[in-house]
Amino acid sequence: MQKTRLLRSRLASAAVVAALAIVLTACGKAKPLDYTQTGEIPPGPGLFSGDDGRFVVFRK
Amino acid sequence: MRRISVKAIWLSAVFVLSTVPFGAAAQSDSEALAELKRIIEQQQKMIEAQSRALKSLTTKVEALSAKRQEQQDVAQPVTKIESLSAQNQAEQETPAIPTKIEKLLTESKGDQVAPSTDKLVASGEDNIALSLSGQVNRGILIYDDGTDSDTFHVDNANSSTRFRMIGTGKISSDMTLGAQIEVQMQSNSTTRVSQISGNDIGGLSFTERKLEVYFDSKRLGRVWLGQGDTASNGTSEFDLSGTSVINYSSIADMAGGLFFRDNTPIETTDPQIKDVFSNLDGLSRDDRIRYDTPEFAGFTASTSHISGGGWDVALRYAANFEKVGIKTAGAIGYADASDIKNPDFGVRNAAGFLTSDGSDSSKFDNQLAGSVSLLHRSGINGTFATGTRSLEIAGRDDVTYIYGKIGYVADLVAFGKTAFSIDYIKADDVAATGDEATAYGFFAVQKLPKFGTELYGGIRNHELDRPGGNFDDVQAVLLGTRVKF
Repeated sequence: MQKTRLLRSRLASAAVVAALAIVLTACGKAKPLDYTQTGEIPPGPGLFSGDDGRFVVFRK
Repeated sequence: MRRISVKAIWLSAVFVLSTVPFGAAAQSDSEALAELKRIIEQQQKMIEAQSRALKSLTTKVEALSAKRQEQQDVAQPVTKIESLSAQNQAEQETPAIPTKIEKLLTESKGDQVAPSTDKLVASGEDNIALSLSGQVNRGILIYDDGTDSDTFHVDNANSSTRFRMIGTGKISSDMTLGAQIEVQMQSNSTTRVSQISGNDIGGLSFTERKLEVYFDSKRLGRVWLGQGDTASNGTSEFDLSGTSVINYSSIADMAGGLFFRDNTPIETTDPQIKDVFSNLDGLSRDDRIRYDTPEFAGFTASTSHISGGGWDVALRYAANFEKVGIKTAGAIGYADASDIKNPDFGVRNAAGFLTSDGSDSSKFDNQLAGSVSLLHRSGINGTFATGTRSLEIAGRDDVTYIYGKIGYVADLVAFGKTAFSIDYIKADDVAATGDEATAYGFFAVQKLPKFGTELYGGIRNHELDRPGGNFDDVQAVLLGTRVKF
């Protein structure tokens, strides 16, 4: 039972990787994408900091 | 002084000459000469007296000038100007004063402005910069565990309240040095409030997230040192749905502290949501050294070694296929924690599972997990994550999970995008062999980008099947807002 479940899980992982590879191949040339990790402070403007989204307290 | 003496003699001479015609008319020559001699002697005495007085005054002025010169070394440049001006007036060197004042004013301006110019002038490209940023993420959590229901005012652990400082310095055109301090401050975290915690779990939870430095080379990659993300952290959590502020693969972040129960009083041995769900997300954040390769065709490989002996590797990918309007991001990570002997990492509980606080920081031997997310320009998006963990504890099956999410990002209102999603997770054997935990929910997020704000709301149902157990489902509703400041 446990081994069947593990096998199923690993097959699912392999299927995802394969599907991703197919999608990537089909989509042709790609441009870079800035990805922000889930849970991090999001990019973009801040309520007080404006467009920068940060307060620059020192710059040289 | 010599000019004054000459002037006095000339005045005396004029006075004498002006009196001669009148004296000549009234007196004889001898009498006139005597009178003239007397006047000249009198004038001579006056000149000598004036000369002595001037000499005395000159000495005093010189002494005062010397004293002021000493004070100028510590006084403001303006005082220096006044002192020199007074000295110059005393010496009647008026033509030189404007030049000296101009010179001193220039020096004065330089002294006062130059240092602050270094700090305030903004260049097109920062060589050195220090910035502050952060967010507040608060919400209302309402639950129903089948027996009771209640409401908590919480900090949303999906993306907790925090602030950070980031400093960067450009060492060369290729190399950048950076340092980061990021801490979170949570009051009533959604992973800690529970049916038995009361409405307030007490003091502020002030915890570290990142305390690290890095060297980043465009050609050679980036090396991180300190407390921060391990290479595999985040590999199970790639998500482009736009709703990750309230739901992503780590579903325990929404209401992880709540207990599964039957209709009897809750016992501390009852499982909490965070005990039975996990997204097996690498080695979390820890004290480590980490290396990331430069990006190559959207791919980045990473590895890290953490304090106590664990290590991990990861491969990330992110790209924008503009031709077909698809953005995609994904990662896969392998982690080996078999050598970790850090007591903070976990203690064995009755089920043989190593856990310090019931969260995902559980000791294990190794695990493999990954995630992928796609977002089409139409707004339709999908996310998938899965993983397996080997505990190698006698009698314990390996942990597995599978997570899926389908979402849609819509332009319903002018002030920002609206994102919707539904998700599902099935996690097996996380807390004990035989456990089968499932959850599903619906979520919505309204973005207000102009104000750095998101409004969100969602509902999720949690189920647990455990051999010998009889637990009711737990429903949780979370409403709140994240404000980036």
